This record gives sequence, structure tokens and C-alpha cells, in this order.
Amino acid sequence: MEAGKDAVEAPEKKRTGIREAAVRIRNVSKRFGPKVAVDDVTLYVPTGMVYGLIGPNGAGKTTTFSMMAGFLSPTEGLIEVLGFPPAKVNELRGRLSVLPQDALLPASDQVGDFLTHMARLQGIPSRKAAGKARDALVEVDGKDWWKLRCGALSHGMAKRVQLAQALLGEPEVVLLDEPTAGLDPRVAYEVRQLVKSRKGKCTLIVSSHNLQELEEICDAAAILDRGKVVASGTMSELTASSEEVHFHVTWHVTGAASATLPLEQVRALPFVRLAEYDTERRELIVYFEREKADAEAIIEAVLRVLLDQHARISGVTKGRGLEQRVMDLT
Amino acid sequence: MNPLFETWLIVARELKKTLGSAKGMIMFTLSVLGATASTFPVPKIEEAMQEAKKVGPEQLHQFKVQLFSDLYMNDATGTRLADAPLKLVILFFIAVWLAPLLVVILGFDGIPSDVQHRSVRYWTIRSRRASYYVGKFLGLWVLVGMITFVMHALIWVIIVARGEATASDTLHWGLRFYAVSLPIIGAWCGIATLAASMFRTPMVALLTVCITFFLLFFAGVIVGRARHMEVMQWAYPNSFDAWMLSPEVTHALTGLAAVLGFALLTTAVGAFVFSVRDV
Repeated sequence: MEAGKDAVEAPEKKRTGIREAAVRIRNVSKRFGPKVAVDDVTLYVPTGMVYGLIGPNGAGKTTTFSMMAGFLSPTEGLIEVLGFPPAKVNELRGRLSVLPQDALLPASDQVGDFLTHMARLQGIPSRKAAGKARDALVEVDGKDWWKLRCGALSHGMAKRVQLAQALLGEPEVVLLDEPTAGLDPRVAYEVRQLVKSRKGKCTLIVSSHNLQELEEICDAAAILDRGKVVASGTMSELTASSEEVHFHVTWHVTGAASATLPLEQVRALPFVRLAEYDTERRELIVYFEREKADAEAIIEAVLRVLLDQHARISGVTKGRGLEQRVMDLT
Repeated sequence: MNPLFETWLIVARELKKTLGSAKGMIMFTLSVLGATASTFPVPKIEEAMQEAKKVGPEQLHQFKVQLFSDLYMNDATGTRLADAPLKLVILFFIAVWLAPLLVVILGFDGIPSDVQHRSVRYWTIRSRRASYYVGKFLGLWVLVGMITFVMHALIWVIIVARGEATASDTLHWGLRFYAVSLPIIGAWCGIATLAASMFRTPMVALLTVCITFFLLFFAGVIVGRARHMEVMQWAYPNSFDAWMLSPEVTHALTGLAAVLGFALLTTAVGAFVFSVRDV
């Protein structure tokens, strides 16, 4: 999680040279006629991180992605990928790859030919290109698809071939726009595992509507709404897991005394700032001073109090969860 | 990576893709069949001309000189072409006139369909956009050039096999005619690629290319024939065939430069626009 903190403090850390930027977006806006799709967005993605772009439809995720990949030019602002503008294809060849959303594979091409051609364009020598293409296809579990026409692939197969072209070679930055959209749960799971397997080997930037998925695989994220960044930071910062703990509680009523909500006792615990109970959700939320105590110590202390009161604990969650956070912000 | 190599990779794929597609094979077959069919009436035409005019070979030659001089608006060119086997001249005429049609059918959707389905994004992340554009243009030019060459070569074989001309005469004139048709095809490919690349929808691109070609035809052939409007004929790339067929080297080179200028200018403009636009 130390790496993740850089996402927030990045500009300062960049100046001190702690971590290089994989992607730097500074005051970027994109307008399509009168419509503002992206409005003054500033983001910094350190190398080696899995970074999520989150937001509802029309939030500007795909437009931001498209600008990072050089498909669209920003109306204003600056974008750098590995220190170069995305339009510098030669400098970024083989270093930046992308899984574009809704980009169809060329229907008449055979999968193997298509991937080999992409490998060649990426600068992989001809004697190795077919091998690399096969490796990428094996990685997405499609080694038998080499001779199939792209137009004959099912949606899930096509998505995996698209993913294979994004993973060809050894790209340093991989942009994945909705990598699991429209996939059945099994294929989506496999794709998620594939993305996880790349963790640490390159910088991955992922956009998805599946917040659980992003929470599971991302180190940090930015939440976009109506073209603006409304929050960004590490996952723990976004979900406030370092300063807030949720206890899902049901009271085992054995007598009047035991049914009393021990809110005052919880509030009296060291480093607890606030404790409140949501009767509708049956949830006790405890806010604490994260500089002075870690979440685990608070959980232990609160559990003791609750168990003393004969409470039945059905779950403990650090933070609010990404989904709740996104609902709050967008 | 060298932009030329990048372009070559894209050209090679274009050729493989189109020649392997149903559209490519149908166009190839139709072109070859059309060219072959066009040769059969030629001996009959020659016989009919001689019969009708009751003239000998000498007068027929004079008639050809007059005909080609009028057709190409140049006496030196007419005199020269009268020596060529009539079948080859007719084939050349057909090939040049059919070139825009072949270019439209094979080239209207090269870029628009990739942009419409966003497939182009797989390329633009890996190759310079100018290389992609030039690759598409060259791929089309080479493809139409190949189909045209097969048409020409087939006729050469037929002419020699029937003993209508010697092999050396056939090759001499055949290669010359083919060499003249090639840059003209390049000009049409340049114009078609430029006009089509401005649109995301292949059908709109097809319509636009057809309208553009018709406007050039109208400007060059209809308006250009009017008095004081002669300059307009140079808007039509096919007009330059007379220059390139001229026995005068300066004329031939000027015609060649003009036609290649068409191809170069349209490709430069198209590649620039494609490089800065959103895909």
C-alpha cells in the first residue's frame, strides 16, 4: 500500500524522484463541440501500479482513456505516457498497449495473422513475432483459435483476443478499457486473474463499472463524474478504510441490560473519534484517528466491547467500500 | 521503426486481406474476364473498317493516325499510336477508363470501415498514422496495378498466340501502355483514399468518392472541352495519358510529373489530416 500512497502525493514525490510517472495528465479537457466530455482533469499514475478509472456512464472514462492512448487529442492540457505525448508512436512502440472499448477486430483476419501482424508493427522481429503472438494467445486461453477468423469469434473469445493483442510483448503501460464488460462470470473471472497476474510487471490502468472488481485488483483509483475527477487516491484512502470500521451487528436480546447499545463505551475507547449506529443497516460505524492507531487495534477493542454486550457480529469491514464511496460522490 | 518498413507491413497486409477476400477475388475475375472479352471484337472491327471504306492497310494506318490524333489532341502521339497493335490501344483505352471504377470499388472502404468499427485503434497505437494512411493508399495502388497488369498480360498472350502481332512488338507497346496506366491509377487511388478517409461510414465514403470522380470527369471532359475552359481538362487525371504517350520526352515527363503530383498531393493532404484527427 506504500506504493499506492504515491498516487495522491505523486507530484511532490515526483519532484523528489521517488517514483517515476507512467502516466501524467495535467489540466486536460476534451470538448466535442459544446459538450465537455473531460473537464480539467489532472491525474498521476506511478509506474508499476494498477490504477482504476471509476465513474458512471458519461463520466469521461473512455474519453480519458482514448486521450491516453492517443486516439483523441486533448482540447487543452498535457498528457504524457512514459514521458512522451501519446502521439509519439515510435517512442512508445511496444511500451504502451491498449484494450480499446468497442473496437472490433478485423473480421476477415485470422486470429494468428492479426496478432502476428500486430507483433510485427510493435517492433518484434519476424522470426519471433508468431511465437510471441502464440504466447499471448495461450495467456488468454485461446491457443486453439489461431486459424479462426476474427469475425467468427464469440463476444467472450473476441474480448480475449483483444486482450491478447494488448498483452503482446512486454508493454510497460497497459490501458484496459472495460476489460470484462459483457463477459460471462467465468470468463470475467479468468480475465481478472490474468490482469492480476500482470500486477507488478507493468503499469495497468483499468476502467470498469464493476466496482468490486476494481476494489479487488487496483492499488489506486480516480473517480470521475461529469468529466471531472471527484476523488483520487489509494484504495484505502478512497474507501476510508484507514479511518473507519463498520461492524455488522445483531443483538442477541437476553435481557434489557444486554440489549443496550454500548455506543458510549465504544466512544470512550482510545483514539475513537466518533461511533454511530445505523439502525436500518444494523451497522455500527466507528471513526478513529488513523495517525495514532491502526484499524486492527480498533477492531479488537470494539469487538471486546460488543461481545461483552452479547452482540452477534456478522461481519467487519474496513472503510465504506468503494461502491458506497462512488455512490456518495457521483 | 523505420516508417518505410511500417508502411510496407501495412501494404503487405492490405494485399493479403483484399486478395483473399470475396470482393477482391470477384473484382479480379471480372476485370480479367472483361479484358479478355473486349479483345474478341477487335479483328472484326478492323475487317469492318476495311470493308466499309474499301481501303488497304496503308489507308487504314492513315485512318488510325487521324483517329488517334483527334482522340489524344496531339498529332505526334496519334502518329505513334497508329503503329501499335489496335488491340493493345483499345485495351489501354479501356484500362484507363475503367481505372476509376476499379479504384472506387476496391478502395472506398479501406480507411472508413476501420474508423467506423474503431479497428484502426489497433494500428494507431503501433504505427505512425501517416504510415497507416500511406500503407492504405499504396496497398490500393499496388492491388489495382496488379489486377490491371494481369488484364494486360492476358491480352499480350492472346495477341501473340493468335499471331496478330510479334512478341517483341506486343511487349514493347504492352509494357509502354501499362507503364502509362500505372501512374494514372495512382492518381485515382490518391484521390479516392483522400475523399474516403474523411468519413467514418463506408457508404457515405463510397458516395463521396463517386461524386468526386464524377466532378473531376465533368470538369475535365465536359467543361474542359469548352472554349476558354481548356485548363479544366487537367483536373481529370486521365487527360494526362496523351502527354505520357507523346514521343516527345518533355511532354511525357511533364504528364508523368502531373499525374504523380496528383497522387503525391492528395496523399500528403490525406496523411496530414489523418494524423491530426481523432480516431
